Amino acid sequence: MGEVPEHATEAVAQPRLPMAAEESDARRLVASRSGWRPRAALDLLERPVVLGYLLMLPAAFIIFSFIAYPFAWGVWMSVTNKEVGMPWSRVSFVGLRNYFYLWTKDGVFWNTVWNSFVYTGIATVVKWVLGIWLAVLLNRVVRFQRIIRAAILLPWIIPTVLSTIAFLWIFDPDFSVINWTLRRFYTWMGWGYVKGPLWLADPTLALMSVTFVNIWRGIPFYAIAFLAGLQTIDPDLYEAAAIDGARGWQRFWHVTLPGIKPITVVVIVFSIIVTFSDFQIVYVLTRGGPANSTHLFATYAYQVAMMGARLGLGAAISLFMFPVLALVIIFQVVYLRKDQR
Amino acid sequence: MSDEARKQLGISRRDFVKTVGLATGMAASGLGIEGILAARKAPAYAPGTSLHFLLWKNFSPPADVEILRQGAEWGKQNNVNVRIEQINANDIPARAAAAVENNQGPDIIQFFHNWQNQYADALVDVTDIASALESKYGGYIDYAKAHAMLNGRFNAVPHTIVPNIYVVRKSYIKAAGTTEWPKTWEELRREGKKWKAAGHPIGQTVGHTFGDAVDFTYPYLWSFGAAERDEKGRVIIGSKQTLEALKFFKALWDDAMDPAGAGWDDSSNNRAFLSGAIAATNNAPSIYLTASNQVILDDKGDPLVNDIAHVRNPAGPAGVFHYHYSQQLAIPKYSRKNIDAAKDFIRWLMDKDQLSKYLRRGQAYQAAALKVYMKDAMWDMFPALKPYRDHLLEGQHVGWRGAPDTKAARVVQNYVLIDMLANVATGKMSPEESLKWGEGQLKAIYGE
Repeated sequence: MGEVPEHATEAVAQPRLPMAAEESDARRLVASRSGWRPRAALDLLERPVVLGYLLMLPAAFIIFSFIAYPFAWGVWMSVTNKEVGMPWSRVSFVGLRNYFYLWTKDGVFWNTVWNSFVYTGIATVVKWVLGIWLAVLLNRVVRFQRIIRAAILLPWIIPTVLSTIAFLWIFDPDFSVINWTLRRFYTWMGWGYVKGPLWLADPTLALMSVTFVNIWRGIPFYAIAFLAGLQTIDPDLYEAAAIDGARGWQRFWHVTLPGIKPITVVVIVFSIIVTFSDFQIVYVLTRGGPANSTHLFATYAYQVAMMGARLGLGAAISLFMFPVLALVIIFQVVYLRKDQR
Repeated sequence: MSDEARKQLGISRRDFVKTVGLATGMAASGLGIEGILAARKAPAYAPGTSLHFLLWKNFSPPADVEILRQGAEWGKQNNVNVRIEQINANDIPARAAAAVENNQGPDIIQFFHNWQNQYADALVDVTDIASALESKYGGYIDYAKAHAMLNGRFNAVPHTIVPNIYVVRKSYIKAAGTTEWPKTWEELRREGKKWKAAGHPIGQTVGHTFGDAVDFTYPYLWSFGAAERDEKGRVIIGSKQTLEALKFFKALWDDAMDPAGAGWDDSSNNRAFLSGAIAATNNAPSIYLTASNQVILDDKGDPLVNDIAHVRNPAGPAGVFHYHYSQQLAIPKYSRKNIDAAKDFIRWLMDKDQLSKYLRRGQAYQAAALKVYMKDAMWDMFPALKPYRDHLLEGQHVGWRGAPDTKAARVVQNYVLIDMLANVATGKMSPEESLKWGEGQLKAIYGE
């Protein structure tokens, strides 16, 4: 047996648990003497605070780059006279002038506000009602369940622009499949010629038409989310309600709706945000016409900023959405926290 | 290469050595030597130069084929990779705005009306090219020149014009008892009422679209004596002439026009006309060309082209007016190292050889911005389209009687005058309300 080193003998002779700080200091000493830094870095990563921040970094970078920075830039732009191609030397701070301009002088802005609320309000309520209805139906379907669920998701999966182009044809006054059917029906009944509804040419009907497309596209999102909610409801609750004599409607009202309440809040809030800032459907179908009767905040901001080159004013239009959407988000956060408690 | 062969090609020994040397270098850098030899001159641009040209998807597809061919030919001659990108005309302003703000994008952009005046600060002064062409060929059509200029300089080179007059289905109006195309708007309303009763109204868009809506609205208002601004730049839209025009338009719309027009884009009236839904529409030659190229037949089985007539706009109290939208080519300043190549390419496109072929291959859908082309043999090749040439000089520029400046472009881009008509057509506003609304919009835009 060879000689045992002195310090090892000591360690055996006097066993004790080193304090964490001491051990860390010792490791650091060894690392610095040997120049082996990665070990120290690994130690650092073992600290939950450090690791937590590091893991957050990619998300923070994305949020800062694609949300916070453009938002701050938009806020800054909205208080300037910035136009497309204007040299920065000529860009000046104009305070709230753009906002006052929209509030007092712009003849399309208030129309846009009204359209946005009507569009979002009707679309959200209808999507909610039809979404729950569809979810309840889907929950009952046993045969071909997966195929049906996949098929129902289609409107939501297809790129919006593509499906909206199909609606452009469906709403065409001369070549619409609906109007064509209507004309055939009138002729068959001997009632003479009928042109059919002017889906995109009548101001009210045009707003309803673009709203309809939004509803068509959005229902799958609601239905699938509600379906997930329905499947978390304990079947015993329905059984208990049935024993207590609750009828179908009462079971829906007292068991189903409260059961999916948390998911309802989340779905509606997200839907309001997305619907309120919708762009593609209106841009493809009407570009805000006829007579500005379908402009939403996003399409009007696009017209003013990208077509009319007034970036400052366009940014101000976009930011008018912000207070409304912020209120919706605050409601959601408060509700969810309350629910968690 | 033998001396004889060189002589046949018309190049000296020195040029030959230079060209081969450069060609070898270019070949080594991945570019072909074919173009260099074909051009018989040293390439003027750095190896690897790439030129990006953004323009619309033409309503006359053969014109697209020709512009692509021309781009390839010039690229081959100059060893430049010419990339031609074609998009919907409605989307060009947004693409241009994004490019200008990002300081990168197409090296040449085709603009319509006077759109490019909105980005004048960001565009290269092309007065040298435009003036040289003017001297060489004898001048531009006035409104095309006005659209391409701002503050005394050309910020784009006037290229082409898309003319717009009335396209008429002769048999429909004849069947309704109309023997002659109406000379005035009042006559058009009276006769159009009969056409509409027979199931073939007048089709006209007053929707948010780049071409037809402007082409109809502006000359219609001018013909009543209405205008956005006077010569001194004051907003004068709130005049009794404008009110008269709006009142009359409501009657014309209700009596003789297809109410679907309020939701149409630039292609809708083409489809409506070709399918027999309407009797007349204000349009470019695309309807005729589609009917001709696709050999569309009418209900009797005869070629539809034989039933199409092209006639001038009816007169209002202030006379006959037309609006033919111009198209011009601009070079953004961000192009930097490509500016010379872009200028040379535009010069080359504007050469008679190229422009003439482009217009002819496009089957006279577009006219040239240069007056001399009004005498071009192209018009004899397409005699049915001669009325477009005959009324080409009757146009005005946007913003007339004021200047076609940045703010006049903004009025076009925000569809203000078009919406004034749409407001009354759709019943959203009375003529008086629409007048007040339009005046407010114009005063806000012009800063009064």
